Amino acid sequence: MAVFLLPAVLFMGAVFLLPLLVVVYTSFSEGGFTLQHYRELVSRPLYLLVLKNTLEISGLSTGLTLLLGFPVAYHLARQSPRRRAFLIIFVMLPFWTSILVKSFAFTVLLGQNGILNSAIAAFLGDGAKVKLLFNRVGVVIGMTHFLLPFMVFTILASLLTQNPDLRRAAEIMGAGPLRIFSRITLPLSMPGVLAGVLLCFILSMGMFVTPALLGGRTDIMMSNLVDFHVRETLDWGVASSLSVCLIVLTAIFTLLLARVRGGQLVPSD
Amino acid sequence: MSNQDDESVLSAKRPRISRRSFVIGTSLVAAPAVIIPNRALANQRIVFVSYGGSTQEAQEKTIIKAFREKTGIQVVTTSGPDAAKLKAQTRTGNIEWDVVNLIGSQAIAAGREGLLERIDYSIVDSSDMFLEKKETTLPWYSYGGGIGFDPKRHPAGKHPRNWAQFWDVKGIPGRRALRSRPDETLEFALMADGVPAKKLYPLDMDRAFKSLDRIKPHVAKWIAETPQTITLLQNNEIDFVPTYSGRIEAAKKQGVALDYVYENNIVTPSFMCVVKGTKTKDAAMKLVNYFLRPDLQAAFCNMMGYTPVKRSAMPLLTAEVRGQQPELDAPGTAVTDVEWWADHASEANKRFKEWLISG
Repeated sequence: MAVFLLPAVLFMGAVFLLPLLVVVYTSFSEGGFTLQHYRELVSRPLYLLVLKNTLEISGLSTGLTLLLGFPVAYHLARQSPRRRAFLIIFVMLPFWTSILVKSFAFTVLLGQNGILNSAIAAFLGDGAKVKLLFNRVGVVIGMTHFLLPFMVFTILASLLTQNPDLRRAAEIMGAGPLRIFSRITLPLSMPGVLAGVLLCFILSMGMFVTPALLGGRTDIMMSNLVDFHVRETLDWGVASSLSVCLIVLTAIFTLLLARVRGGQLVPSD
Repeated sequence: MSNQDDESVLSAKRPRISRRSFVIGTSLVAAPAVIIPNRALANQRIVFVSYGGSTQEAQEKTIIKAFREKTGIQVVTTSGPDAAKLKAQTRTGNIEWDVVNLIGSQAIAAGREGLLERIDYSIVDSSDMFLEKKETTLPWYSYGGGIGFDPKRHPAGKHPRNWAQFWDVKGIPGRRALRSRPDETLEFALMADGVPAKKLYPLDMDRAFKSLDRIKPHVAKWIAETPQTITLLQNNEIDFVPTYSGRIEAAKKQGVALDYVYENNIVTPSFMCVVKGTKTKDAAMKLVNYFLRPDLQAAFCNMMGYTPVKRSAMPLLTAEVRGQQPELDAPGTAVTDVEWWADHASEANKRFKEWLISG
């Protein structure tokens, strides 16, 4: 059976692993072996500040996505397959619009003169307006909006694999809905939750257009700096060392999460 | 599947061609295309890369059309010029591009990395230009950056006309936006602080950041993507923003009534470059020369509203387009020193981002 994996392994080796090795190599070379690109990263506060931002923004967005996404996935899991298929279309909607267009829509909705703030001003006066854009709040709203489908689908998949007999058995034994949820549904969905969290966290570590469009002046992401070094200064050494740091950090995060669950990242029966 | 099957199928279809002549024939036809696609049509075909959209359309309709008709040389156009892609091509020896349009210091950086051929000034006529020619990069048009605003909210007298007024948040009330990058922003800060537009370089960074400190608390949004300069004005989220004349004029044409100040602009050149290792160097130089022809320059700029680099193209502009030009020789107009930026982009960007992120 393993032989059927060969095409995928070869494909990933050629288009993913090999380029990745080139990136690692580039990060250590400048004529010969050097650590100067990594020294650059600790030589000034910029990179650490941006790293802190990246982790904060990714963490906040992933957390909020989980809070919003779990109930949606739970609700979807309890629908008939036909109704679920229909409702899933709405979950996928954010995928179908470009971020530039979405940022325009967000401005119309959340801006100082946007629909939401106009409504607030109409009821509570101008002083009650809230700043929802061009700050951390705007970034987290925009990123959550993007991440939500990833979280919902991952959790939904894990909820759908749960054996309904378990719930029925608990019901027969006299457990209420709250107890069934907290003792059966939630614990059994944890692999899905962790996979969703991981997926969203990794995705958000690599984002930078959304923070740039909806964020304030402090919302600069690591990928932003990678992009800058690749395209503007053509300094691929520093760009590579930044990428390697991002990959290593994300890998550590993945391993830590995997440890928490005893290596169980996929739902098992 | 054996080769025998393949051959019998082929020979069945083409009974008159012997197997040997078929094999030789097909390999002769196919080999250059498969093995060395770039050489296959040498001297007849140039790949030209530009920024796509309306700019590229205008280039095709004017300059490239004339070049094709006169020389018979085929020009294939594609979009998305990028110094990083250029570097990848020359590094791997897989040269896909011949002539590239690059903006600002990216062109200079590409030249210094050794990614560009020297311009052959025996073919390219570089006389009578507003801007200085370089060894590997040739300016061919320029575009102005300045203050954009909404004339309905801020009629004449209520909007800043120069960078000193843009910085004067008490004198001219309104929400400001600036760009989240140092190029142009540092220049604006220095002009706001009283440095004459023609004496900006080398930029006094300490002074620029001190000037930026004054406006920092009053900036509603630091914009990363150029389209947002227009949409935020349009959505009434900001009042005054550094943007480009071309963007404002394009918005006007689409019925969005914004306006632009042509005084105290900063002008950035757009460069023609020939890729190092091109197989069609002479043809490429000829194409570059067409981009410098005054009549074609004027035809292109009349469509786009940009400023031609040849002085002799200026009288050929329509009255409307001439009204949309920052005056290059005017004392209030700055010209981006792309060489300075190529030297200092890295340091300036790091310092700017650090400044932006803290305090």
